[in-house]
Amino acid sequence: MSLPANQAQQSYDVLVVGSGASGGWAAKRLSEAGLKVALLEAGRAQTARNFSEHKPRFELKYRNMAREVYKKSQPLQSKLYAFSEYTADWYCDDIEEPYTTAPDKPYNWLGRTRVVGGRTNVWARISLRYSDWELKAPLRDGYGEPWPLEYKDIAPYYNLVERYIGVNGMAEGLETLPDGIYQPPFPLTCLETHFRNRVKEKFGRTTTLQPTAALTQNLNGRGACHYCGPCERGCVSRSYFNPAFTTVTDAVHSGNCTLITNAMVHQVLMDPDKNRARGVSYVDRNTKETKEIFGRVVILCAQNQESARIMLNSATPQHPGGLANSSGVLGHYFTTHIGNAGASGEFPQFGMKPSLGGSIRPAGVYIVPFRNIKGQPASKDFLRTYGYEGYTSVDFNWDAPGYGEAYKKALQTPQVTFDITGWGEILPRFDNFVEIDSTVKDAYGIPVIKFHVSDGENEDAMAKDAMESAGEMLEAAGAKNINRHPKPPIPYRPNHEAGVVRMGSDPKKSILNQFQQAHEIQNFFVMDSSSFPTNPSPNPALSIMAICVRSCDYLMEQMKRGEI
Amino acid sequence: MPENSDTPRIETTSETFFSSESISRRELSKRLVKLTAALSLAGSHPAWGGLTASGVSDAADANWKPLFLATNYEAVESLAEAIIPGSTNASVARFMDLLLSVDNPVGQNKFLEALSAIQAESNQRFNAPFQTLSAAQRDSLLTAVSTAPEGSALLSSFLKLRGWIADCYYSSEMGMMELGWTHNMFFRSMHSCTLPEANL
Repeated sequence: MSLPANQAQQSYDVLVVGSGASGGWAAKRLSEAGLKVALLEAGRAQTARNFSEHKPRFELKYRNMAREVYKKSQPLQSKLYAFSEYTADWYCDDIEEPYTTAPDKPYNWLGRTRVVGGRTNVWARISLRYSDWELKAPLRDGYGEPWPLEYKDIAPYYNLVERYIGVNGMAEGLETLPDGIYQPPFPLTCLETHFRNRVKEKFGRTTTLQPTAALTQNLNGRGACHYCGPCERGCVSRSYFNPAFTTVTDAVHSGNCTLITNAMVHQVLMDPDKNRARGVSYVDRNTKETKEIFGRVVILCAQNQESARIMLNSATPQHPGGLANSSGVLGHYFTTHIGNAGASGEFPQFGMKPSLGGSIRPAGVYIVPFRNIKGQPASKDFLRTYGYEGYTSVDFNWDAPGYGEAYKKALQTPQVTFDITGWGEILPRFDNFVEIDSTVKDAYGIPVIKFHVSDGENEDAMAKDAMESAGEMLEAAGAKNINRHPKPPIPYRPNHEAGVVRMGSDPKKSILNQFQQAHEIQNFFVMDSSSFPTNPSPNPALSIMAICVRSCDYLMEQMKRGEI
Repeated sequence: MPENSDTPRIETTSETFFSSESISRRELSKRLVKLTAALSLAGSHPAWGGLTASGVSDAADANWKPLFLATNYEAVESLAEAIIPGSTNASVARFMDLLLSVDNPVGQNKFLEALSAIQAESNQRFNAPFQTLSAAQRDSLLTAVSTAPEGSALLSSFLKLRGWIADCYYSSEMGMMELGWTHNMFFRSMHSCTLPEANL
């Protein structure tokens, strides 16, 4: 059943905080196994009424052309690529829910959705597996804390998750990018095919379709993609993966999960005598009342820094530095991805008539990581690696000269560009961290997060390499007017934050074990990307889900044995 | 979705959880209408409710007054029509007025400066504002400003105005249809590359 925040029952087997990629899976996995689960979501319910992927611009009041309107209440969220007039109310109000930054270290915290399904309402759907090459990088290059698990540990759960969410992709047989269980792939365009072949010939690098969590075949009552384009505004046929109409729905449908919306969880409640989590405290967004709810197990899936915020706000005399933080690493080793350095070029030879009326493939291509990868040239300037996302654009010639009917005609000359942008690992550093800013509270009275985040030499060098290599590949493919774009000075980050509640084998250096269970509190788990000790270059959502399901299975086994 | 949707209906006191309110797959297929190579739902989808009503209601509002443009409205309307023919029918000036009314002062001033530059040129050449010029005079003026030297303030002003007008025109229903938009949002497949090297 689903209840608003003011009508929830009081005690459950498991409390899951957050209904995004991992929270939805935790709720589904545990409730379908018979456990009584309360799923607490800070945002409101998601409904099909909110979906607008087929709505033309001219039906909007401002036709999605008046960002200034949203800058008043959402000056940060409106910077996100997926933010629009269509879905502005899926995101938090930046004034009501602020955060702070160190004076000389600006940081854009974007994608703070407040709706069931979290960021997976608006994600890019890229579903890549981590390889041992990246998971074991700390063991190989000596930097950072090793992952306490290997590819073989996650692989069965990748299979399970991919079968359920539906991923289409091209099997490439690469050790450094393990193939998934794919539905038939979206087709590549001629330009992409040309680029793939030239780059393979010249550099031995692989360009493939982005493995994408969008269906090309019907699956479990969800329809195959109908190529309308803007998945980030919803999907009437439920073709892309969104917990709101998949995992969360399944969980609620099991009869064992209560979804509690508008519940801003701010604290884990502890039993000091037993050193056990006994529940959570939350603020009802509608009434602003503080409430408590209890469970045998507490799982945070609130998002990287939101989970850390809850733990830091849960300090007790037994846990003075924040929950389960005797290692002192809670909030530290914050990492994201570089995501802006690359290049674009024109390919007039692949011109096709531009049109607003054609089918749109909701995916781009992916250039598999090659730098610092086995069998490929290494860089002397930086550790770790990056891959590229690539997107083709066939646009109208808006810059054509003239006016009147001649301009209208000239508009039809196609402008074909191909852009590739590197997405790579930022090294986890102790001095990149979040803490509680006790001087600032949000509209719900909850102390906010303060960021201390800046780029280091490694990511600067990686971004430079990503830009130069992009230009090099475009040149090899015959692009004209190549425009190399560097990383911007202010960290505009893709939403791939990780690391602030990291896993590890050594309790002195980490907070969680390999099953995302706190070393210090047996019935407390953190199953989102905050648990990742490094941030491998592939987009993390698929791994977030797979590792979460693995941990849920461990949790159930422990509960059966009476260990928890 | 199958006939018996796998998504439960869940009643709550304050909100509706994601339920089966969207149309079913079977219903979709019933509505499919063959349109060239693609399949179309055309105007049958609930999302299209009110599609044609939006423009009509604006046009029918006799009491409408500019929010921002005030004395410049006529000039903008005539410039829009001259630069992008069809703009009057697409109510471009009216929509620009709405956008400008919610823009920040920097954006508003940029617009007014660009408009002033064109009007100054009109006054200089014909001793009259743009909206009072004959068709031939308008053509002469726009030819001059659109071919002004690269980097000149005049060309820059023209391009800014054209950009605003084009954005507003081509985001209207009329403009979007000129660029190939149809009501169809359902396609059976993507076009595949047929080049020999595409045989992967």
